[in-house]
Amino acid sequence: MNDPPDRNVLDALHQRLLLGDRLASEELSRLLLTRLIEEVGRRFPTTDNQIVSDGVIDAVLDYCGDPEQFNADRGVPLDRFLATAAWRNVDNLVIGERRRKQRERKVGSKKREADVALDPPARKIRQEEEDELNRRCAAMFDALTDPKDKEILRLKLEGVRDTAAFAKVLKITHLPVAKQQEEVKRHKDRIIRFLRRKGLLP
Amino acid sequence: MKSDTEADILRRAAARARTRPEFMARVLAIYQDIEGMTEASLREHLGVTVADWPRLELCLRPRAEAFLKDVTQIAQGFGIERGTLAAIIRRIDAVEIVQRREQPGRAGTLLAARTRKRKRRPGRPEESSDE
Repeated sequence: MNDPPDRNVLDALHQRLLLGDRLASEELSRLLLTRLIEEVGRRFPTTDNQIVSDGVIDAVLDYCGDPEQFNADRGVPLDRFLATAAWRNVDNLVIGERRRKQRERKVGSKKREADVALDPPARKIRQEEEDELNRRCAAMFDALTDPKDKEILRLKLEGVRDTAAFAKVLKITHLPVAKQQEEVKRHKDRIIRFLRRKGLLP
Repeated sequence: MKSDTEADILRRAAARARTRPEFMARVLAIYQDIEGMTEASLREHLGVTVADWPRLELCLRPRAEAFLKDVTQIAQGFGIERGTLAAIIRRIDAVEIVQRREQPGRAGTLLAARTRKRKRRPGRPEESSDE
């Protein structure tokens, strides 16, 4: 692993951020992101790399946007402060992800029995179910004429939950975040209502 | 290999900064949207290399109270023509001001509908508003 960052360098970057330096955030990102992702990743060895990097990146961006949240007088080096914030972020993301998977499992268990895959006739039934599912997905895509609606449906079927991904498709990233969330929800609901009317969704 | 990973991480960080108004990433993303430009065309317009683009996105947005100084710092840091960069940021500032005005129910909207309280005149009893 690389040597830990020089405390004087970090202190200088903190001072620059406090004074309103516009370039200090990118310098700090270059200096710390990779190192912190490696470090936090070791603490969460079974966690998806993307979740770890999101947690670390959010900690660094949060700090750069509000550097006064770090008090250098407390004696804690900046990189330790950011590592702690990143651990907390990743912890929260992991808990959220775990809850989401639990919900999915709960819903999934109602639909099919667990040993289906081991039973050849059941496997055939399962294959037929999957074929049917693929047919229904294709029918849903065919029913939508607007490429943006198709893209939103694709993201939704892939389980994407990040508003930013949908906002990019809708080209509304210039709107405030709350408005983006509102617009994304409105579009998703509209598409679902339309597919229900067509009898393609229950 | 390592530098590839670092570049990926910077790109990912820049992508996450696009939802944060305090970062240049958001300014550039909005500008791309309203001008119908691709990232590559905006990059070319500003004369920034692919490698430097996420770095520019991770810079903090110029403050209104130190606009010229901040724009100059960013422009010098990336070899961008200052006027071009300033025009982009000013454009986005204007778009955001218009958007804020267009939001119904925002703070201050109700003030226009409020009845103004009459000031008491010193030494005189308060007059009834029914008079």
